[in-house]
Amino acid sequence: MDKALNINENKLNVLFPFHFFIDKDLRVISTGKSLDKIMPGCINCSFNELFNIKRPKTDIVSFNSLNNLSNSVVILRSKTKSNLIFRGQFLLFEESETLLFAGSPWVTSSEELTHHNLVLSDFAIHNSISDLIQIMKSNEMVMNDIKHLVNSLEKQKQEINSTSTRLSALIQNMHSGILLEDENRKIVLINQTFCDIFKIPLSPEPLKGADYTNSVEQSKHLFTDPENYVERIENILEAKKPVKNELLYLTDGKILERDFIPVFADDKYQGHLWQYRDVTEEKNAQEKIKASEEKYKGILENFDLGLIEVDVNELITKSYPRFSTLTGYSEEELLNLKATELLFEQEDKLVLEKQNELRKKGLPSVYEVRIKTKSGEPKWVMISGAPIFDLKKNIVGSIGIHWDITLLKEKEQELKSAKDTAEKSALIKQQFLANMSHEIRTPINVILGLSDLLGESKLQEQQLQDIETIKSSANHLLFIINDILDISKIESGKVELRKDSIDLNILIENLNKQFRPLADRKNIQFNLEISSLVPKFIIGDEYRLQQILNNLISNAIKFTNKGSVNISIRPIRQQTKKCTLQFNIVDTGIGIDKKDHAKIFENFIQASNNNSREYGGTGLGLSIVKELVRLYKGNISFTSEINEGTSFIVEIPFDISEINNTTNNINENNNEESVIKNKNILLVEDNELNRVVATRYLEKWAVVYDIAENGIFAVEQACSKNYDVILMDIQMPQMDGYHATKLIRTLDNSNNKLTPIIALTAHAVTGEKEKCINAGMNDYLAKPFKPNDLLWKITSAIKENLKTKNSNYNLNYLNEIAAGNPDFLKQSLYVFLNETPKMFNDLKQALLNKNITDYKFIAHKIKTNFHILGAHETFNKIESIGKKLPESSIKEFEEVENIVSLICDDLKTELNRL
Amino acid sequence: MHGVVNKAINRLITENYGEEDWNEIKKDSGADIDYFLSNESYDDSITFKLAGSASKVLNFSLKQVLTAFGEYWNLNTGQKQYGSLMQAGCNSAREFIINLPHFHSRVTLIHPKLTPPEFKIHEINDKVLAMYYFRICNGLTYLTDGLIQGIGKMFNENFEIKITQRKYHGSDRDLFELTWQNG
Repeated sequence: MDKALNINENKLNVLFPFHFFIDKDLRVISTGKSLDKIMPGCINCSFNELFNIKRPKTDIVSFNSLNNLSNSVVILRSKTKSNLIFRGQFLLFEESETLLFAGSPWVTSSEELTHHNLVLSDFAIHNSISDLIQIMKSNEMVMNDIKHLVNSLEKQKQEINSTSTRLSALIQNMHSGILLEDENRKIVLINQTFCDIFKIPLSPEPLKGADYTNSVEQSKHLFTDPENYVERIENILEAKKPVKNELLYLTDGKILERDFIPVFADDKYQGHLWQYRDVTEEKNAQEKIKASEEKYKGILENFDLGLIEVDVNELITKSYPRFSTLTGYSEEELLNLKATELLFEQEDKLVLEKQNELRKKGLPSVYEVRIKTKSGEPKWVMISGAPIFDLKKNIVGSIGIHWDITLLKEKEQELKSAKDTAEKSALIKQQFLANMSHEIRTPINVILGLSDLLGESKLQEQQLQDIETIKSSANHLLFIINDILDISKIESGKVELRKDSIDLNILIENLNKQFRPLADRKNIQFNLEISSLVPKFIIGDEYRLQQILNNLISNAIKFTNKGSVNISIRPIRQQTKKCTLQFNIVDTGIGIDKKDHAKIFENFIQASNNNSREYGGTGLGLSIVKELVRLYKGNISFTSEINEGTSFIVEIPFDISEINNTTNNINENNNEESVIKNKNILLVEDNELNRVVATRYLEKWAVVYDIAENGIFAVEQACSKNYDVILMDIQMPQMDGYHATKLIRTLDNSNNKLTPIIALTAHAVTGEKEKCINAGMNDYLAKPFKPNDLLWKITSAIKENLKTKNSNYNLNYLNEIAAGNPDFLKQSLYVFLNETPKMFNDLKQALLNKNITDYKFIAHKIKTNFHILGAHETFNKIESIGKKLPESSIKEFEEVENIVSLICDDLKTELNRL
Repeated sequence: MHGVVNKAINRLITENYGEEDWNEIKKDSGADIDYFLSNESYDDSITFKLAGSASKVLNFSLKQVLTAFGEYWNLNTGQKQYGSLMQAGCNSAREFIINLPHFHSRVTLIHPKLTPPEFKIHEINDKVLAMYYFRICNGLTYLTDGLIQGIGKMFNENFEIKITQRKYHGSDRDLFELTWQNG
C-alpha cells in the first residue's frame, strides 16, 4: 500500500497491471507489474522519454496538459519499444499531485502479443483485449470461410454458366421445338425450331422473359382440333405431371409429338419444359410400314403361308397365325423356343443346321423339309428362309416362310410311282418287242434265205411262183415287224436323223424301180416327176426319207384300183445353201372319209376297219411318216375325198450338199465277190437253220469259213486262227456275242484283236447297234438280211481293214480335226501336196551333202505334216535315216521317196474326189 | 459443436485417408453439409455421427477416433489457426487448463449462439488438477480426452489423464483427473 497515494497498489495491479504514476515533473514514480515486464526500467524516467501522445493532439506536454486529458481516451506510443501502443486514461490524484495512467497495450492479434512477449494473463481478467483478439481471430476465420465460399460460388457460377451455355446451344440446335417457361409462364428459354413450328415471327433471344400465356390462343388455329389443343394445355399445366409422346395433328398435314416436363426444386414448382417434335415423316413411314405389313400379312394369309421370325440364337421372336395353323402350336407356345427343337425330328435337324449356317453367312435359300406338328402329325413344308439385317447391316435373325406341301409331296409320290410303273411297262414292252422281233426274224431269215437260194435252183414255173409268194409273205411279215420297231424307236426318242449326202436322182430312180412294177401289176399309171430346180444333192437321212416316201407311195398304190398315182418333187423355198422340197403323192384311189381325217395319223389306225381286212397293213405307216416328217422339222398335210382320191403333201427343209459322198454298193456284187473269195471267215451262230442259210451264201461266195456254235467256241477259234472277218450272232447260249467279242479283243492269245467283227442279230430294237459297237464290234446287220447286204458288209470290212493295214497314211485324224468341214480337209491336203515334194528334194540334197544339221532341220519341219496325215511309219523311216548320217544309204532314202510319191498320188486322187 | 472442430475432423480424414473416404463417412453419417463454417455452431450429434461413421469406415474404435480427433484439433488445426493465441494464452499446460473456464466464458459472450461446454478446475495440489466437464450431449468424453492429450503435447508436457466420472454413468459431468509426474 502506498500511503502517499493512499491506493492499494496490489489491487491496482490486479485491475490495471499496465498502469504508471507520474509526478508534477513528469517523472515516472511507479509502474504496474505487466508494464514493468514489457518496459522495464521506467521508474524515474521522464514521461517524454518514454511516450509520445498519439491522441488527442497535445502540443506541449506538461502535468497540467496531461491532467486536462482526464476526460479523453489517450493513446500513447512507446518510445522505447517499437509498435507498442497503450490505450487508457489519465486520472489526477490531488493529494499526491500525481497522475495515474490506467490502461493497457492495444493489440489486435495474438501474434502482436507474442511479439511483445505478452500472454493473456498479463492482462486484467476484466480486460476485453483477449476478447478482441479472439473476435479478430474469429473474423479472420470468417473471412477465410467467406473467401473459400466466394471462390466456391465463383467456380460453381462458372460451371453453371458453362453448363447453361452448353444446354442453351444444345437446345437451340435441337431438332425439337423447346420452350422452357417459369412458374408464371414467362419464357426462360425457347429455340428457333419452336418458333418455326408455331410460326412465331421472332428470333428466340428477344422472346426471353415474355409471357407466353396468350400464345396458346394465338397458335391454336394451326391444329386440326384447336379447342382441344387449348383445353389439353390447360389440363396439363394444372396437373403438373409429365406427359410423353402425345400426338398433335396440324392442319397442314404435319404431325407433332409433344412432351411436357414439370420442373420442381425442393418440391417447389419452378416451371416446365415443352418439347415438340415433327414426326410427320416417321409417322407416315410407320403408317406405310403398317399398311405394307398388313398387305403382306394379308398376302401371306391368303397364300396360306406360315411365317416366323427368329433371332440369332434361333429363338422364335414372332409367329404369324398361319404358322400356328400349320404347326398346331399357339404363338404363345412358340415364342422364345427353338423351332429346331420343337418341330423337327433328329434326322431332319441336319437339314436345318446347314440352312442356319447359310443364314449366318447372310444367304437366303429355299428348301423342303419334314416337320412334326403339335399332334405329332408329319408334314412336308417348303421353307423360304432369309436373313434379317438391322440398319447397320448386322444379321439380327432370320425369317422363314413355310408352305405346306404335304399334298404336293403325296401327289409327287403318286406320280413317281406312276412314272416307275410306266417305265417298267415301257421296259417290258421294249423287252417284249426285242424278244418278238428276235423270235420272228430268226425264222424269217431262214425262210427268205432259203427261198432266195431255192429260187436260184432249177425249178418249174409254178414252183418259182410259190417261192415268190413265200418271199412276199415273209417280206410282208418283216415289213410289219419293222413298222412296229420303228414306231417303238420313235416313241422312245431314239431315232436320230443321219446327215448324209443324198443323190435325189438315185432316190427317185430307186422309187421308180421299186413301185412301177407294183403299179403296172394293178394297171394304174405311175408318174414320177422331179423339177429341174431341185438340187442334185441334199443333206439328210436317206433311209428315213425313203421310208417316208415308200410308205406314202405304197399306200397310194395299195388304195388305188384304177387311175393313177403321181409323184412330184419341187422346191418351194430355196436359198444358197438351203432348200425346202415339196413332195406330192397324189392318187385317184378310194379316198378317206372326212370323218376319218382326224385319226389317220394315229397309231394302229386305218381310215376304215374294212381297209385292214381288204388291204392289209398295221395302221402304223402314217404314224411313222408323221413322226419322221416332224423329226425332219417338216410338215405333212393331205386332202382327200371319198372315191376321188387322196393327195399328200410333204414339205421338208434340207441343207444343200455340194458333193456326193453317197455310196452305191448294191450293184457291184461281182467285184465284192472277188474281194471276199478265199477269205477266212468265222461264223458264230447257235441257230442251226441260220447256220445253214449263212453257210450256203458263204459257200456261194467261195469263202473259207469256220463255224462256232456259241461264244465260247468263237473265242477258242479266235485264239487258234487268224480270220479276215468274224460274223457274230448276239443271243446265244452259254456266252453271248457281246461277251465273246470283248474276250476276242482283249485276250493276250487272241489272234483276232483287230479283225472286223460284224454283228448278225435278230435284235433289231433301238440301241442294239450301239451296244454292239460298244462291245468292240465293227458293224451290225439285222436279221433277216438280204444276201447282198451281208456281202457288202463283209467286203467293206475287209477293204477297210486292208486299207488300215497297208496304207502309208491315214486320214482319220485329219477328218477328226476337220469336223466335217470339207474346205479345211481340202486346204490341208493342198498344203501337203504343195510343200512335200520340194522339201523332200531339200532333204535329199542334205543327205547327199551329208549335212546332218540341214537334214534334221528339214525333217523337223515336215514332221507335223506327216503326223497329221497319219504317215507315222514313213516319217520314222525319214528320221531313222537322219540318225545314221553320214553313213546313211541313198538307196534307203529312195525307197522312202517312192512311198512318199505314192502317198502324194493317193492324196491327189482324194483331193480331186473332194 | 463449433464449426472449427467439425472442420478439423474433415481435414483429419481427407489428409490421412483421402476425399473418397471422407465422402463415404459423410454419406454414412447422413451429414449433408458440404462445408463447415468455422464460426457456425453445429449440433454435437453431427460430430458424434461423423465419429461413428469414421469408426465404421476406417475400422477403428470410436474411442480411438474421438481421441484422434481431439489430438488432431489441438496439434494441427488449433496450432495452425489458434497457435499464437493459445501460446499467448498461457505459459504451460496447467495454466492453459486452469484458464479454460475463463476462455469458455468469453466464448459464450463472443458467440452467443454457441453453447460451449463448461469447465471447472480444482487445483488439488501442484501436481494434480481435477477438471469437471459439463456438456449437454453424451458421448464426446473421449473427444475431450483427446483434446487434453493434445494440450499436453502442445506444451510438451507429460501428464496422466484419468476419467473418473462419466456423464452417462449417472453423473451430470465427466471428471478428468490430470496428474503431472514431475511437478
